Amino acid sequence: MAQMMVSITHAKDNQDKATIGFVVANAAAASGVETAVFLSSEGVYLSQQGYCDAIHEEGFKPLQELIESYIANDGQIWVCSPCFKRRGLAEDNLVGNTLITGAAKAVEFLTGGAACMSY
Amino acid sequence: MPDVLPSVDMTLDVGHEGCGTLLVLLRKQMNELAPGAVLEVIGYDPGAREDWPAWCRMTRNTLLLTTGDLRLSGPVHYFIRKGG
Repeated sequence: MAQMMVSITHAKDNQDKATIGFVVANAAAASGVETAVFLSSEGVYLSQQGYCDAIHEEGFKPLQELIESYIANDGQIWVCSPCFKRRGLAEDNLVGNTLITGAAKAVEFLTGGAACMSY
Repeated sequence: MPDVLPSVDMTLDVGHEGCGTLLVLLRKQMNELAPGAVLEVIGYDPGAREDWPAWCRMTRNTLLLTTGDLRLSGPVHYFIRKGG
């Protein structure tokens, strides 16, 4: 199966990029591609339940809907551990099947042949 | 904790280090061990739960066992056998 990573480094600081990242991730997951969204830097906020409720960029579906449809299509969400910890976020408030991870898991995925788009 | 733990040749307590910094520490320590030796790593980084299995697969080392508190705050013990 083809593999793809979508790296998202923004949240409310750039709602446009955060949204487009999940639009692309949805396209990949809905195409039968094994897809992992890697959230790092400010992007880790997107892993928290309720955070995306008010994010709705013109021309796109609300971000919360995008995340829900992505997860429903077996999309994976990985969160950068040090980025997550330094912002004091809560592990018991993660959306869906989100995994906290570090760089090694991302490196393994990418060197195994996954393509990557970054937002 | 399981009843039987692997015999350990070296223990490394990495505290709250994580991600790339931790992997550099891990590689340095593994370089000091002979093939087949077992390193016990004690750490608190929640990312290591996903990261170290991946690192072991990439570096041809074997993650023998993971024990401990798998919550965000608890210490976790990883037993890694150095590959040949």
